[in-house]
Amino acid sequence: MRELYELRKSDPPLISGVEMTKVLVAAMSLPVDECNSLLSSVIQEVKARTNTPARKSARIMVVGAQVDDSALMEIIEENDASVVIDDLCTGTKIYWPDVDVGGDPISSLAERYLTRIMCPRTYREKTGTYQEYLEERFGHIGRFIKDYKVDGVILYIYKYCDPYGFEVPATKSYIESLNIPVLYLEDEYSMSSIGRLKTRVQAFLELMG
Amino acid sequence: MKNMTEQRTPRRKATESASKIPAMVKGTLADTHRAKEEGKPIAYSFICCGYDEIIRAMDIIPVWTENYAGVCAAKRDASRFLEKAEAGNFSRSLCTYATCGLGFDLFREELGEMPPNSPWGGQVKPDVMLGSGQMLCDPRYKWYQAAQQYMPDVPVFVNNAFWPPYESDIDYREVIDHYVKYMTEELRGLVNFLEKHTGQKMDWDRLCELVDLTDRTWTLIWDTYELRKAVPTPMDTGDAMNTMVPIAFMMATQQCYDFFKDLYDELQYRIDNKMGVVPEEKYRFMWGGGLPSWFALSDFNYFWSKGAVFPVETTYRIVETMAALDIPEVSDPLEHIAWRFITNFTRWYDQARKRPGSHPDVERLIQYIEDYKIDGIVMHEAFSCRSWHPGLIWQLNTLKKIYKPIPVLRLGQDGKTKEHYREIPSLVLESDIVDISSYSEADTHQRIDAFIATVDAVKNR
Repeated sequence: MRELYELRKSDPPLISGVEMTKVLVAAMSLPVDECNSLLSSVIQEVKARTNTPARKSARIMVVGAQVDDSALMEIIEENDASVVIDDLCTGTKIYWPDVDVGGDPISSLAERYLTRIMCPRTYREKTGTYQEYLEERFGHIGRFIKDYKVDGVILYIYKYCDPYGFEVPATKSYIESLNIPVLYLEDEYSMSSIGRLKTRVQAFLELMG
Repeated sequence: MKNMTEQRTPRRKATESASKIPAMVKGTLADTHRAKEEGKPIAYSFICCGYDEIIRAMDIIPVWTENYAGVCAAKRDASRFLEKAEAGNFSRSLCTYATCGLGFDLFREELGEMPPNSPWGGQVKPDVMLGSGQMLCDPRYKWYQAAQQYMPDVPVFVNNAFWPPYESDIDYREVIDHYVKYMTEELRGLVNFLEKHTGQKMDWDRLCELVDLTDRTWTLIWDTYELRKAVPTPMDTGDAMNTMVPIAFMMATQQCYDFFKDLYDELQYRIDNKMGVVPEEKYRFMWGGGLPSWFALSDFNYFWSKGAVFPVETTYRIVETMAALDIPEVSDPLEHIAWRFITNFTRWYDQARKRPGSHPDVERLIQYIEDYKIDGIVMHEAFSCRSWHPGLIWQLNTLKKIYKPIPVLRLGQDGKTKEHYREIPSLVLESDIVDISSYSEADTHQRIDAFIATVDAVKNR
């Protein structure tokens, strides 16, 4: 999966955000062997593309929880922007942290789930300064912004998900401290307010110029 | 806002003891201001986390942040803090205790002083914040972390306090030792944290004394509330929403113990003299769960006007008689606290396993229905509290399936009447704990009227 994400670094990215969401949902739903086989063929196909998606004026990162509907990506990509990276439960959150091998496998799995996956539901103790604390909690977002040359971030938070909800001000201010504009959207998992979202995404992208 | 404040009517109380509570809360808040001036360590704190004796033994002054949000709501002066939090990008759908508190903190830190006309003088800036990870409430471990956005130098400790989840086919005793050991170590970690960040030292002898005082207080509270079984009941839930103050915010203090000693005597006097909550007690309801709308406690008076009283509630009945808890003799006071905290949750497990399809929370409802001769259940679903309130509907549905105590005669197809059994009538009120914009007095009263008509029909059938 990380190899496939690598193909989004180019400008334009070789695979769109909508396509990527569909791959991620399929990967989540398949037995691991079938998933790996599918991924190999997707990577091969994408690498061989001659007709790549058109270059767009903004490269967007989406941050949030379990976004398995491609509707949001469609809105963004219909408005002259490309979704190039994410910090989502369906995406990088689960595909970046590795499990240590060599030790007790149960402990290693627990370690990965409880501490390495950067999910707001895990409370992380503050040790250094507050700025260092923000870096510890959100530094991976900053690294993605740099590596994937992100122009703007859409913070897409599900209503009633308290662990994410309480982190919105800190996440937003961290990203803004990197001089990257942030659009905070609150929605229900059912994506019931898709029309309203469209207007706000359009306005955000227009403001980014 | 001003209009809502003007419309506020203080709730009438049945007992003298409950009438003393507002002054006690005001006094406690004044104490925190005095302590701040004297340089004593202040801790933002949550109730029901098992650390009452620890902070009291270390002379750390608690500021109960949920309580302060409740005060703002009861004074109908929470909206400006909720709006401040929303402007700071906290969703309106989050726990309104938390958003009221966060909005207040943001306001105070921006101004560099208390927001103007803060209810009862305001909430002082803490030296430490003591969160809690539980299977009960997500905001309790995220709220103070979020508050660090405005108070980055105030350290947070999250004290994890878990208990074995209920499984109908597993005896919790197989795993309880692990939970007790874990919580004991968490409490030890809290002591270390407090010593490091406040400079206070734990007085272990004093801790032992306060643990003993708390045990005795729990039993006294239980015995006091058991007096409410009397017909007519001498005190109802309306007053219990006041007398929760010493239970939740003054535990491990002599003041709390003495308060309940006085309340016990007062209730006994009222029983001896047949002094009920209302002149003619017609309906006995249970407040079966949910935090109340703090801005609308006078709704209990509306129930009274219909002859309806609440001899019992599950909300804030957070203590047990020590005799009901299976606590072994241990020498470590922290371990004793952990046993008491955890067995308070597992206390209904055995009873639930005996009734197919039941659950500890439902079993507790059944026990109270029978002990307190209950005619109907009222619950309150607060939109901003996901942790507790959605489960209330499930509890009611489970109760309806497994418990039908009311005999009714129905005409069968054969023309003969047969005895059937039906469930206890119930009412779920919908609003919030702090956000008054979710509340309609007219709708609430209409629903209460309809519920009472139903209960009346069932009782007089």
